[in-house]
Amino acid sequence: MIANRDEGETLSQAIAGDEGSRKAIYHAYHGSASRLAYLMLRDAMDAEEVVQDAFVYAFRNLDRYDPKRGSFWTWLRVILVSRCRNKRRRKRLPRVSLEVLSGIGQAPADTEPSNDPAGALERWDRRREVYDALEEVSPGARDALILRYYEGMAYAEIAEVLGCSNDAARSRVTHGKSQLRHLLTGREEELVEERGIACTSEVG
Amino acid sequence: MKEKHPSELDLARLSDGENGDELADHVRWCSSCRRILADYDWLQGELAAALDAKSAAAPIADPDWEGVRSCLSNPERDASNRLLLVAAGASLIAFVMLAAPATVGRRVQAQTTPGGAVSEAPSPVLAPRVGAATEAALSLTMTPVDRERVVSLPFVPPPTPPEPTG
Repeated sequence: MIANRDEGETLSQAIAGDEGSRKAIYHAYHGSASRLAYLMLRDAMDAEEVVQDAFVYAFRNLDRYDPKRGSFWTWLRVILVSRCRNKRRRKRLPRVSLEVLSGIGQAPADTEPSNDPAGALERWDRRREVYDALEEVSPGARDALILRYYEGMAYAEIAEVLGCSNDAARSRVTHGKSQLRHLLTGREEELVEERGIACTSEVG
Repeated sequence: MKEKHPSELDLARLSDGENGDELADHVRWCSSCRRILADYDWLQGELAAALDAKSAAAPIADPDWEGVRSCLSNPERDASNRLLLVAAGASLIAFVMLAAPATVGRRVQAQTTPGGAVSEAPSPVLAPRVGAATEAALSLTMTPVDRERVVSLPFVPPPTPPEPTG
């Protein structure tokens, strides 16, 4: 990202039409935008297309950006999330399991360095379960959860990005968490049952 | 007195640092609510970690500034999009003009009916052949009757008395 003071200057130059400044802004936010789009769309090519489209829109409408209302990243994020949601609406996303992703080398990597391979594996499994469950949460709640727990956004910001009221944003996050909890505890109970049955059959 | 447990959604909000001290007081002594709250605390941490891990492993394409630049300097796409919109609008108008006359006609008929009520003209009904008694009765009338177009009558009319002579 660009430091606040520099961002202001760079943006003023970009609004004036300076291509170098636009390029600097693009390079500064491309990574964050791509990662967010990927989390929302779960498809690298779709994410790339949406990110490019969002930047093109942002640069064409740069004069509409009001720094008083928030940072450039906040504004770009509104454009990006809106495009991600449109893309998802147009294209019904197939659910891809993490087993398939790990088969093609796209499974989430364990980013925490550790000397304990068993612990790392357990962590990876746990996160995979959480991520699997997140795919089953309703789309509106999932978007809100990503914005809240990945982007760390306040409810007012989530409301602005998703185009809903503060209460609705809060409600989406709460319901999303509740859905996740039920999905995960349900799986846990299934697992306990399976293990119980397996133990019983072993004993029998 | 038995205290009511807060709803699960209230606990989910509490885990996010919302809801008041009252709820926190309840959770302090209620083990079942504390367990749910612990679930949510765990879930939030795991969710953030899972999303971070997923985004870190995301196959991000290299920045393509040239692609963005060419789109910015190429207004053709916008122009073609506008052209498509105009074409779509024109075909929609044409469709409405072709498909609507029947509906519009009916509406005009409804508007011209006094009192606002829609009255429909009765459809023509093919009359059944009248019985022999009716035929005989009709034959006695002075009025010439077109026998091929006899209308059905709901009753048998009495024969008309002959006119007095002289």
